[in-house]
Amino acid sequence: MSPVTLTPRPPVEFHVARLRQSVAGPVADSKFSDDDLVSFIGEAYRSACERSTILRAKATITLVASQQEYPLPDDVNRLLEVYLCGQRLTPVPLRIASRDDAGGHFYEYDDTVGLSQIPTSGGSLLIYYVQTPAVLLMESTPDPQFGPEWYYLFHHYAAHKCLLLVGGAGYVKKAQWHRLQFEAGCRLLRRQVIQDSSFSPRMVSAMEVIGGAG
Amino acid sequence: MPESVNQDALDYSNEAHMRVCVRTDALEKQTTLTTSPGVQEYALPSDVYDLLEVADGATLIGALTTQQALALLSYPDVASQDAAQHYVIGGNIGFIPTPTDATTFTLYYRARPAPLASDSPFEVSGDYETLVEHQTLAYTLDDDGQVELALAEQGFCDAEYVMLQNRPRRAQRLRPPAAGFDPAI
Repeated sequence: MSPVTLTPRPPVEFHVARLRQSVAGPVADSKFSDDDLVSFIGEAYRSACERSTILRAKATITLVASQQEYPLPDDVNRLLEVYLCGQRLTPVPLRIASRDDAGGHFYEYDDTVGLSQIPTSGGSLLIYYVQTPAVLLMESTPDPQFGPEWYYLFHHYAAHKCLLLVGGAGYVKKAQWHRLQFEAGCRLLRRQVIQDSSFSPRMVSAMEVIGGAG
Repeated sequence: MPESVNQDALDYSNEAHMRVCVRTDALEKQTTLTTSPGVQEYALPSDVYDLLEVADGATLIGALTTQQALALLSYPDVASQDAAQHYVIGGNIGFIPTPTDATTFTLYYRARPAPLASDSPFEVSGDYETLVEHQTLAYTLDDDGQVELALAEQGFCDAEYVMLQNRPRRAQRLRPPAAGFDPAI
């Protein structure tokens, strides 16, 4: 009989098994259910994504004449940039937006984006933002932008959480080590995101068409 | 050996393999992408984590930064431009102007390894493979409750990551020369 070829388990399932073998098993006397561990892993994913801002997306909002404010898409975690007709708009605080009549500005509050200059006709607004990650389940896979090379962060965060919840002076140092590993990983991920979005020195002929915007 | 032990070993090695290959930029690959008329954006293959260059035949096409791409995309007359350029936003590659026919581009990129199977080898060798083994060991020691040893092993791995990332590789890129490039000059 030929041997069965094994393939990797889904990441969440693997990390739940890892936690069971280590901190959530013998140490915690199996106090944690699978749902608990999956929720810790989900927290790790959300936290790593938010700290690093690795999940990025763009969306188009259709403008309506005389309408100043528009709801943001549900998955917006943080608005990064707003563009209108090739021009990058500058953010202004909500408290001064009503007194700003110069145009070229936008403001944001409570899942809403507003233009300082009320549109007089239709058109579209292009927004670029940090996405809120989807909730992780046992069988789900993180967003492809959050690559498998970063899944090890799940273990450190969840292990730290388990050890703290179990309590006991004997586990403080171990919990602290896991937390430091998680923080260091998030910093690396953040650095990668910044590098990826840095300016390319290449000449871009198309930019000349719109007068060097951007 | 019970199958669960083999499965654990595979999962540990797979995660370490991914981490080592990406952290040290060990793998560079190429693939082709054929555009469809009227479709501006395409999902990048899942093993792409850093797109280096895009070529149309022997000619490298321009790369737009995210900000430049967004400015152009929000500009109504963007389709009137003729020089093909590309951008990457949110795991997708896009082309400006929008392709009007089927064109095959070659993508050169830093790659993640394929997920390991129990009968497949590592995609790296030498010091890189040794580092995969050390990283796997660090995971195993940590889960075995030997934190001091895991910490020491992880410290070694971290130093190796930096060393290997800075190591010049024999063949940096395997790509055709850009149009007008004369190696004799």
